[in-house]
Amino acid sequence: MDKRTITVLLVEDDEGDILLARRMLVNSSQSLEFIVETVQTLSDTVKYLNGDKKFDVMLLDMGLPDSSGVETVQKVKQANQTIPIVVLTGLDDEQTGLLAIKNGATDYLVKNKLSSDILVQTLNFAFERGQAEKTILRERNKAQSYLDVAGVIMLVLNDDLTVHRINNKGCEILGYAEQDILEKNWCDNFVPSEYREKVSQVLKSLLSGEIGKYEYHENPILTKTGRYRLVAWHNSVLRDEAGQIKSILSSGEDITERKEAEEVIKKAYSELESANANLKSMQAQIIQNEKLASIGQLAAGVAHEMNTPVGFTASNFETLAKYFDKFKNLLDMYGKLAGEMPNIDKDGIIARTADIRKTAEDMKMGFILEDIDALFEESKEGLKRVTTIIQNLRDFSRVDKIDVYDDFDIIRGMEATLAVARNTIKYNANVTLEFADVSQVSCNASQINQVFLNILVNAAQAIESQQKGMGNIKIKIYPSEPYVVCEIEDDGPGIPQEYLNRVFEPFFTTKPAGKGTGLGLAVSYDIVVNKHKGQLFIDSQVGRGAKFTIKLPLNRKNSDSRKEMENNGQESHIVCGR
Amino acid sequence: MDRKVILFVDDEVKVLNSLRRGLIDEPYETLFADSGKKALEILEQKEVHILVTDMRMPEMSGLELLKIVREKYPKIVRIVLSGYTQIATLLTAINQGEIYKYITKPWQMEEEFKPAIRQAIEFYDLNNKQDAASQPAAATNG
Ligand SMILES: Nc1ncnc2c1ncn2[C@@H]1O[C@H](COP(=O)(O)OP(=O)(O)OP(=O)(O)O)[C@@H](O)[C@H]1O
Ligand SMILES: [Mg+2]
Repeated sequence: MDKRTITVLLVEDDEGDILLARRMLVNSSQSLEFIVETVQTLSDTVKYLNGDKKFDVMLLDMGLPDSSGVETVQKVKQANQTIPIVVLTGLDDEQTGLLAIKNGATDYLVKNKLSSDILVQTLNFAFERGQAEKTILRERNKAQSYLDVAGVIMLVLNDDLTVHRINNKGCEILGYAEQDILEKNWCDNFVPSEYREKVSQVLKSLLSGEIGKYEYHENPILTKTGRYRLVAWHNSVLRDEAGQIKSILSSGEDITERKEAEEVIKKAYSELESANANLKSMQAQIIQNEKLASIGQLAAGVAHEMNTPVGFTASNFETLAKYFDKFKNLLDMYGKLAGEMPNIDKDGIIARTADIRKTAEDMKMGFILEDIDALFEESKEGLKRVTTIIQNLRDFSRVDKIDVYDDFDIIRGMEATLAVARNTIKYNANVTLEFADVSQVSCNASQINQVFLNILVNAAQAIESQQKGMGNIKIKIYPSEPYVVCEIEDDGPGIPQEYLNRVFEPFFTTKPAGKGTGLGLAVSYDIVVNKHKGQLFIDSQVGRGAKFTIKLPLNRKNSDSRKEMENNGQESHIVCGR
Repeated sequence: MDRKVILFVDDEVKVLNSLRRGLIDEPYETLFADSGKKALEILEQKEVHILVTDMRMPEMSGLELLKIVREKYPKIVRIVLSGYTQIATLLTAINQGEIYKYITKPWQMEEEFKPAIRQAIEFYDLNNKQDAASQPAAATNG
């Protein structure tokens, strides 16, 4: 086993004491070897300490020829911070010993009570203290250099919120030299006044042990030039051996630029958001307009539908008025003739009658009398057609409030829609109907009619696009628990496989500009699937045609489950509105 | 002056009937066809001066008929009588069919329809007097 060697600098002017000490230390221990050098004055001591030789411990008599008392300790300390000092004092002079410790000595020994064991032990202990302190110092320097190279501010605050330590980065950001920061109150000097109260509250909470809540916080700090830098702090506390919180260790990152960038991004993002929202509402508006446009289109169709019967009926009515004038005219002539009859002879009567007949002939009375029944019949029929159209129009667009769901007979809806769309369809397709008995469906009637119309118009347009003359549209309505199903099938060109998924996309259209906006099916999908929780799908074969199937959930419990119906098929929805 | 011949085309027979009734006292001959095809047949056989046609008709639309008539019988003054008042339809008829007048349904017989026919006849006469010697005149954009 190696012996530990401890080099001792003995500072003593009394030869006897020197001898005594040497004797006590030489060969005193199995495990320790002491190498002792002696100096007799303070000035020599200082010289030694500044010299090349390194000593592990110093054994110091305070009464030297050139210095005495505590002063001696202070002076030695000034010369060398780190060497552990064991002070030798006179008999029972504990006061002096304690004073020496306060001034930096490690331990003290009373000369008269000195024994070999005590001396060896004390020196050994001092040696170890010295080693430990060196290690601590080394570590501390290392830590400091870590702190200094760290990209963040490292700050240690005492419990009175004065700065205990701060690293280079902190100094750099604050713009002060380290010594201008140390021991200054952090909040008062380095936090902008308007944040001071809040920051000191945070720090006090940390000191009182509320760490979790304030592990992270952000606040600006105030630099020497008066500028603010925003710092994000991560805080922890340092405790003494007793577990008492003594200081706060904070690492702070200067996030000023990052925050600014974040703000810019946030702003850009929110601008994007609102632009997006605008776009959406614009799109909704376009869809709304499209609905209006299709109603406009419809109105045009319906107008044409009415223009014709109103046209000929009104014309007939005008003609009838003229006929009536003619009848009056003839009646007048006959009346006059009757009145004058007694005074005219036979030839005269014949001449007058021929005259009247001639007039009647000029008036085309023959045609009029022959045609008059037809005139009435056709006019009556014209009025009936207008009446029916108005009735259908009323059925079709049942001036419902949006989002009102009512029990509705979709067969009637389909009939009304067909009547309204008749004009668009009749030149392109023959329509066959197959309606089974179905229950009423809780739905928004005008929306459902809108769906029927969109699909019917598409079918008619698809057939028309082939330019092969009349096609066929087959419409079926039948129950299929828990749905009412409506199929609309055409024998037009069909939809290519690659478009099948896309036709429901808003603005997807294969029609020339001006003819299709590509919203018909998107709107229909929204109405059937989203609004009515139903299904809408397509079967199609190119060259054969397309079949659109609309499945609307049946009303299960009648009127009071209306809300439930609305949400049918989405179990996540809660039944409400009872 | 010769009696003018006017051909009316509409797929709705009741419209034709009402026109027949309304025009019995007019000094011209009226002919009626309920399709473009029949109208063309009549035109093959008879000289017609004025053509009044509906726009929306099955098989042959009014526009197609107008185009053919413009090509084959450029002298005939062409008039549209239609329930379609949409600008688009109207413009196509005027631009492609080079029509003289566009009358909308419902029409007013005394105040509107008869005067329009009379004007068309005058227009016909005017064109054909001017161009009697040279090329046969089309009824140009009215
Ligand atoms: N019955 C059908 N047969 C063939 N293709 C169809 C049929 N129905 C829809 N399509 C195709 O789906 C596309 C989208 O239809 P949608 O109704 O959404 O828009 P659009 O008819 O083009 O325009 P809009 O309805 O807005 O006037 C159509 O352009 C067409 O290509
Ligand atoms: Mg469509």
